[in-house]
Amino acid sequence: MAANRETKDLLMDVNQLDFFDPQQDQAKTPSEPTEDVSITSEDMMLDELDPVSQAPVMRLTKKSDQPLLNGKSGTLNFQLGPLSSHNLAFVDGPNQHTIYPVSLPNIDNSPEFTEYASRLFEVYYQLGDHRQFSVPTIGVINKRSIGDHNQVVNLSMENIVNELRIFIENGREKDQITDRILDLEESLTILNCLQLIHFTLDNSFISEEDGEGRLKFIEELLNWVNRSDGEPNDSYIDQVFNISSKHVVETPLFWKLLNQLLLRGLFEQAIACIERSEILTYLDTIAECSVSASIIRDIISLLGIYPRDSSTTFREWKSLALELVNNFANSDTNVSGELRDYIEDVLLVISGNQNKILHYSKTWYESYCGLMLYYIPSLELSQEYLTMSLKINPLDITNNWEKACADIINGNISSILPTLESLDTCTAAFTAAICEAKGLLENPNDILNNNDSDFSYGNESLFSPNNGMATYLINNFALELCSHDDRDLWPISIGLIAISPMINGNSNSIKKATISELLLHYPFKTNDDIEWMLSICAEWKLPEVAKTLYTILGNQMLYQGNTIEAITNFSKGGKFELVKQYSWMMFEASILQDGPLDDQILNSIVSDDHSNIPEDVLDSLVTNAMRQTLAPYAVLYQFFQARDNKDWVEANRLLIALLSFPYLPKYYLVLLVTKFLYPIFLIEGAPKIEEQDVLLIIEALENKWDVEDERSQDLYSAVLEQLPVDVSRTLPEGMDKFINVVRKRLSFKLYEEFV
Amino acid sequence: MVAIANAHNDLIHDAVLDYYGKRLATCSSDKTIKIFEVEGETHKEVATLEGHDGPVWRVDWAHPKFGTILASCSYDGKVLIWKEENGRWSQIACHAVHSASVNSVQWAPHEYGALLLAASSDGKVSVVEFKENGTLTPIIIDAHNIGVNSASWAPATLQENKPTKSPEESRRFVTGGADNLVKIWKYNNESQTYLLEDTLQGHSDWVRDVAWSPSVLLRSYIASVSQDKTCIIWTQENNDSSWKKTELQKERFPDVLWRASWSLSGNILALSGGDNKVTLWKENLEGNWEPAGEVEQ
Repeated sequence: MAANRETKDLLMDVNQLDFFDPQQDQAKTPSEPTEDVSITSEDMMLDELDPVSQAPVMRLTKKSDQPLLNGKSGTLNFQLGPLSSHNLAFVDGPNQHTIYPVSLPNIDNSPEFTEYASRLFEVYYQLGDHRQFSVPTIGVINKRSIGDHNQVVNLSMENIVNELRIFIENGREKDQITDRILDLEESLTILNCLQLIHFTLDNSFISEEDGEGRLKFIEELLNWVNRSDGEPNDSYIDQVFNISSKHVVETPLFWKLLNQLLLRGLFEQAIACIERSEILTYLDTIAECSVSASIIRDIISLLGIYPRDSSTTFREWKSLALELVNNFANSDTNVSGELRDYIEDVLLVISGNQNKILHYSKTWYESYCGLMLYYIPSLELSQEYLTMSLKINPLDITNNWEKACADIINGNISSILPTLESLDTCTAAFTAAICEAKGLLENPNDILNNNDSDFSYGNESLFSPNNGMATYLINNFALELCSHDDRDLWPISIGLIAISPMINGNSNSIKKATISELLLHYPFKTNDDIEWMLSICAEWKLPEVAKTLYTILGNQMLYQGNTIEAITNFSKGGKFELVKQYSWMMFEASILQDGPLDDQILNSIVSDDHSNIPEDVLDSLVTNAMRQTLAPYAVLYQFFQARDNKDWVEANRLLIALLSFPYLPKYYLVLLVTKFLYPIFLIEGAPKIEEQDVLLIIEALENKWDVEDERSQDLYSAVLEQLPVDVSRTLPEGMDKFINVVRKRLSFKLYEEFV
Repeated sequence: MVAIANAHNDLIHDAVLDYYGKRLATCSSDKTIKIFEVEGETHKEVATLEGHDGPVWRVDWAHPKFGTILASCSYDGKVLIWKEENGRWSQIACHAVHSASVNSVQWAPHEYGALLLAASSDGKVSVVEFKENGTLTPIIIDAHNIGVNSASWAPATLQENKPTKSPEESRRFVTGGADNLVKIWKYNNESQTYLLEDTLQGHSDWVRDVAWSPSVLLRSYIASVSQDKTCIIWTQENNDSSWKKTELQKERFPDVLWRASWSLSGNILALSGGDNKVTLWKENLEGNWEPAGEVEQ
């Protein structure tokens, strides 16, 4: 038994072991009873793709505990928020009291992205009428105008590609290599290919035959192929040159590398590779083959002068290459058969031999590039080259860009857009828009006619297929921008909705509806922001949106304690009930505090003293409705001044004006009588009141004094509470009794007048 | 934004950001509602609202044009309306017409005014208009026999193309109930109430949540999720044709689906369910729904 126990002790109990799990271990930090857990939405980066749907998966908890996986019960709840970075998740389960912020996947909130989106919008906006592609079918077809259109659109594409390149460089400087950068790189490769095939050789000024056209074409070809994968890489080159058993030129790897460089048009690197191999020394001294050495020297010379900028010179260059092939084939050499074959293969590759080009290509795009460089450089043969290349080296389906580039070469542009969208919605949207402007996308109406499914959208949808794929992507992107927490992106969003071409006849009403729905979500902060929103309302004739905006502003002003500005905004928002309500509230507050309110703006409005606030500012604040609703306060303000100056005649006149004001709410009559009429004018020894005025007061009391009114009773009680105890004791507790006292005093006043 | 630990002392049932994403309201079985102010990556708890006598299921912010107003609903059968003024929160109205738990509450599109929709386990939904003077005028409808789990307003539609209709007559909402049905209701001027417009059958178990897309599109989208582990997207053209049913995905989800919510512009749908996964969905140009992302714990 003892032996058994010792043996058992030697075995590890794996269940007791605390294996390292980055997520679990992060979670083991004892959670303090504090408010914050150190997870931000930024922490929840994309981890993986879902194996079935390929949708990006985001982990809710990267640094903290994973509550449910620890065997606890509950349900994960999720609520999309108004901002893409502010969505909320929480677990509806015992002892789960944390709210997790979640960012939507594939949303870039960096300032660099804002800059990038702004630049692309600028490029697209500048296109003006060229945003729409139209095929002239009647009248004299002006080739020049088509060429001009192409030139403008091509230039836009070039700008988009450049902006993407800059965006990637900025991202690299900041974040090194991330999934996001890799996605953008793939987008760039697709765009490079798109620009090469469809945006280079078809405008008024550039054709395949002229020098500038060829130079541009060749440069873009080499840029596309070589930026796509960065091959051959440094470590591979070092590996080729570090084989110690043989001289490097005797190894097949060297010649494969050399041909790969040639197929990719990397002429300088190819020459450097030849020089690094010291093949000339090898041929002159070891092999003692002057013919081969001479051929290599000729190859180096030829590579040094590959004509990028002239089709004519290219034909001459190719003749020279073919001549070299012939010369070498007809010469005796002093090198091994294998080495002679390698040298001959190089000559055949650069003279445009299809078989050798295909043989030495590692990928379909290397052979495509090689055929374009050395066989016949013509876009007309592009699809043929692609077919040949794919037979030898099929597409690598593990990356996004190869299939997309093949589609581009085959002229199937629509199919690349979903790929681009999955990589970056911004790039996809603007690329689609430029492709549409170029006429590269299928006419949406043709798609609809060919589609026999019963699926149909309403005629008046922003996302109707009637408007095409580009408009769909543009509008989708525009809506996406509104959920970024970045005010700078909003003008782009509204701008995109406004200018995106739509086939639908009622496009303006659709756009108007969209803008009116979105605009109010703009997270305005400054006056400029509000001005911008109002300018959009004016431009799109959205008075109701403007009114809602003013109402929101009114509420915000109230929240900040700026009552007058609040009333101004309510007034502009057509909320006249609120204008009345808050004007009377100020009137009430002023009576209760027995003097003008401590509001410089309000008192400037109702007085002649505009020394503190300029008149034009006041004019902009006071609307016509406010002039009416603030009038009672203005009279009250003057009453206070007259009272304080002991100008009893004027004070009496103003008070009676208020008492007999037909629109005075009845409960304020109680306030005016209790606070001013009775203590100032009705007590013993008070200033005189004219008979006519007494009658006016009696009439007002008869009409409005309502002892049953709850509000009036509340205000009467409030006034009693405010008064000093010795004064309040002299007044009856109830309104019903107080009115009798007032009536008596008024009768006495009449009697006084009579006597 | 930073995660908020210890937000409540008991189960959390809802967490909703306001119109601009600057304020967060949460509610819980501890019978309270908490308000947080959110600024960038930080947040600050500003108020705890107490007034319910049972777990608080849902909260919803009113449009900012009505001020800072929040509605909450609870197991106690009440809907409470809260308002912030001068930095202080107070309960300004109580809507107590239901005889059982109120499971969902939602403010109508702001164009309709301060209208509140509440769904209750007593089988009724109520629409209550909250007026400036604090009065409430409720309309009560028998909606689903065994109980209503969720209700959601349709977005306001433009009237300029149909000038003959009164604005009230375009008001619609959807309910999902324990009778496995989804029902569409529309206001009728003559009877001054909401009448059943359509009954949508497709689920084989309780409908747990319904969400009408707040989309600006003139096509209507409703997502309904159910105990039967499916999500159905119901679509209607131009607000007056028949409803078309599309199952979000052909195979059932791994577990019960509890919640559906749409993004601000209505182009992303989020579902959460018993498998503790949140899936995001997007409709492509061909009208097919495709996954746009997942959130896992």
